[in-house]
Amino acid sequence: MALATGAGLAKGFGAERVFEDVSFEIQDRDRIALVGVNGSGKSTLLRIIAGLERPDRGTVGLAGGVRVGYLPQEVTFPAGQTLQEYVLGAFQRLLEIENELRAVEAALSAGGTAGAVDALLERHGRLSHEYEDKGGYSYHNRVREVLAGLEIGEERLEQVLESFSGGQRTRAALARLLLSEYDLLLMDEPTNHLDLSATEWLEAFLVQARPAVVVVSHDRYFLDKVAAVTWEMSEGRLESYSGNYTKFAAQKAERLARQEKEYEAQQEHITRTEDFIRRYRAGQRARQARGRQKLLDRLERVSRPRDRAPMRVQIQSTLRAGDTVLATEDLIVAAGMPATPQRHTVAEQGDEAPSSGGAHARSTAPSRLSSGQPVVYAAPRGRAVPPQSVLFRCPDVEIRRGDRVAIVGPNGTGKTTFLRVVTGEVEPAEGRVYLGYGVQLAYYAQAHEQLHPERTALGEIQATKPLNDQEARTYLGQFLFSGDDVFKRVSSLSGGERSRLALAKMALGNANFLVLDEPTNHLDIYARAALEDVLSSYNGTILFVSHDRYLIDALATHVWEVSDGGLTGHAGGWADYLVARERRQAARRQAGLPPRPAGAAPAEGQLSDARPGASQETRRGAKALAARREALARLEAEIGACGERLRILDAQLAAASAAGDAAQIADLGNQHVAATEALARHEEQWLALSETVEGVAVAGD
Amino acid sequence: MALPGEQTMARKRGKKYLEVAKLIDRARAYRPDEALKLVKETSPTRFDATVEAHMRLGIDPRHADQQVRGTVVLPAGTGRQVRVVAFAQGDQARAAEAAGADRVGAEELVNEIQGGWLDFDAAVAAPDMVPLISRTLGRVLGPRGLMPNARTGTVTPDLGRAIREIKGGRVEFRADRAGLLHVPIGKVSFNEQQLMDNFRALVSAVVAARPSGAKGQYVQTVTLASTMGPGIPLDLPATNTLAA
Repeated sequence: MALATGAGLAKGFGAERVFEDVSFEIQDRDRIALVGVNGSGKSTLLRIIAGLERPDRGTVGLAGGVRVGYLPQEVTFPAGQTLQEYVLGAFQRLLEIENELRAVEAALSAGGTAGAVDALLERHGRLSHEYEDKGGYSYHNRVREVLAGLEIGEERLEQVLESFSGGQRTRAALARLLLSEYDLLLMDEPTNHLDLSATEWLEAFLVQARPAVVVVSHDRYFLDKVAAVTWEMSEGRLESYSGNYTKFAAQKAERLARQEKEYEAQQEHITRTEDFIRRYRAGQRARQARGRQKLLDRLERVSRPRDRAPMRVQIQSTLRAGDTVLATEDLIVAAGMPATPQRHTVAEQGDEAPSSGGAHARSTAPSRLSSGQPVVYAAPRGRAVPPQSVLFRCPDVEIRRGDRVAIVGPNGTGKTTFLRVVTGEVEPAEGRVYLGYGVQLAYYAQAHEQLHPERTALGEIQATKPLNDQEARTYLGQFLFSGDDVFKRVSSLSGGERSRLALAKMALGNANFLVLDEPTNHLDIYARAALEDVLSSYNGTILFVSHDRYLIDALATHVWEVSDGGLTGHAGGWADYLVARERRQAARRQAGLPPRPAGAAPAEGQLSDARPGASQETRRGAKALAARREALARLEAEIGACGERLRILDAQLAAASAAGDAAQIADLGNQHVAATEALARHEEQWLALSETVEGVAVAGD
Repeated sequence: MALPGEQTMARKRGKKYLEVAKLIDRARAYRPDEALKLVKETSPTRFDATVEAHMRLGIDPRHADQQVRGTVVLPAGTGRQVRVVAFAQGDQARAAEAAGADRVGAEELVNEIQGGWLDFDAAVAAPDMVPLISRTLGRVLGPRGLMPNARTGTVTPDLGRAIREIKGGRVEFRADRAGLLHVPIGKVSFNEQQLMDNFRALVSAVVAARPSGAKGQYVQTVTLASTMGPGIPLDLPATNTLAA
């Protein structure tokens, strides 16, 4: 049964047409993904279906009695309303019945004539029946179930909604929407602000849900799980594709390729025909030429397939970092730590003695980073950190050159703070962070604090690198800033534009270690795909926090999970991580322990398998490296033994000289020469080997 | 039919089921008397199976004026021992006890049920007990379909009669969300006449309970089956004459 149909819908704002001639049909239990670039009219279409906005032309028809629920992108609540009042608003009729029942019961308790009691009983019976029928006996359980799924603690029920964060507001609105028994749900970016476990819960809920769903989202993984049909808003038109996002992308590519072929064939035909007409217009075959002209005029032209220009960006670094890019030691990440005064941008290379007693000890590297002079961020000694501000204890972790590490975990567990500690923005609560030799780091902050609100996009680029206007505009063009876009102030850019500008700025820095905090936030689905390509072909090391599972799946070689006050490492991408998580939960179930919520770590601060290489290549590399390190250790032992032998020979020579034993002096002298040569040889070998191990030979130096 | 992407449950039937299912011609509609004879022959179980009637009604239960709910006293009984509790005090409590209620009580019975005791099949209440049980036991009894209600005759000043009827074979029927009724009408061990009497009473009660909002054909299909046994489709005109 068609729940809703749209025919010939058109909408525009002022002179700008948003869409024209949009028609659709929504069937019972349909699960539809609505995708398209920012500003293509997705939200407007949802609002028109919901009846909140009127189309300029066309009609929307709803089947009789169909109830439509709408979740806007930004939810507003009546002032002073608590979560409980708001969520229970989904059961308005049940609450009314409850009140009526209590009134009837009070009248029954008061007694009366037999006739009056009978009437009251009949009314009570009718109300109880309706109450039961509308789920009056089960709605409290449903509220509890939905709140638990969305990870809203029951202790929050009495709190005023205005005090909620963006993520919590979305959850509250979702809870009410899901509890109200709608036949058609229209959801505008429901996964914004939701963390992974809540998103996964929502996916499962929607897949099993009775109502039909139309959902706008830029989360491709979410769309893949939820959608059975994909609608694309493109150039003012709505195209429907069967299947989820991945299938849609494949079908679209195919369609574009086919259209391109048809277009080219037609162009060739037109050129040939025009040539013929030109040649024979006035001659014997003029009649034929006129005929062809007529045919040509009647020809239905195939329009050139226009796909949105993708970002044509390459981020590459010409600097090569050492083998170890990042390592931590006894690190504790806490909220409210002071900012590190000397903010790090480039790993320092000059010799610097460890400062004693200073708040920010810069020391020479520990043994594993002994090749160069990396940067160390350390907590000051003797500082007491209140336990309540500790976010998590980090086991000793290490990131090697070329690794791409994704950090996942629920909101508020300290992922961003960890990145800020790594980048030296804030101090660790305890322990140290080492940035390896030759590491040049670039940080992409979630809120784009690195952009100056008063600068123009052009100014922002020129402030980063001295480029002339033309060069800067060409460069910005790669990031889809065209025409007057480059003169827009940062403060007036949309979320997506700001993200692209921040990326553009970051790409200029020649960094070999990218630290990214939610890089796909605000980007539309196409920009996300483009960013994914850019980062996949990047030759440096990446550490990123993301809730975008598609990106994690495409990029990550390791997944680190921050939860329950600890960090757990998993080798491999998102799929491997899911398998590991499922296995862990199965083990817990077998052991009779309660399952942990999605995204929870097995034990505090345990790093189970953070380092095993993701690919065979990495594993082979790691093996070779381990062998070299062993050889280095052997050489060091031999150097030590040679030193000791020389010390003994020196003592014996002194004794022989004192005794005047010429033969012994000559013998000992020979031994001394041999030992000195051996020492020199070993030292030579050690130096050569340590260079290969620690990556002293930096490309491009 | 499964929707695309949905997995169909593998339907694997037992030997005995397959054997007795051969006795039924799925293509024809049986007269009630034939069907009642056949349902006794097609019980695949070793125990005394229940005979069930299943009816599809032409209603949309989402609408308040298209609800079907009521009770019917089966003349030959249900063949089951029904345990009844009664919420009452004073004279009504005594009347309930005399009528054979398995437990009678007021607040102490409420407390016991709140504590998890649910060893009964039906509950009746005197009108003055409604405020107490409605407030305290709604979430316990409601989801189990045990909540006394004036509409089904389980809230009444005449508890004795209600209890006797329930024990003597009164059953409740109620259309589910898909507009289907499932009601027991006796046991396989009943003779055909007993089953016919019960079935007639049910059909009459269901037809009498036709809601005002129902449009078109009211009773759409009727099927009889024994517990775990195959369904026997009934001839509608012949069945409808039972209600006359």
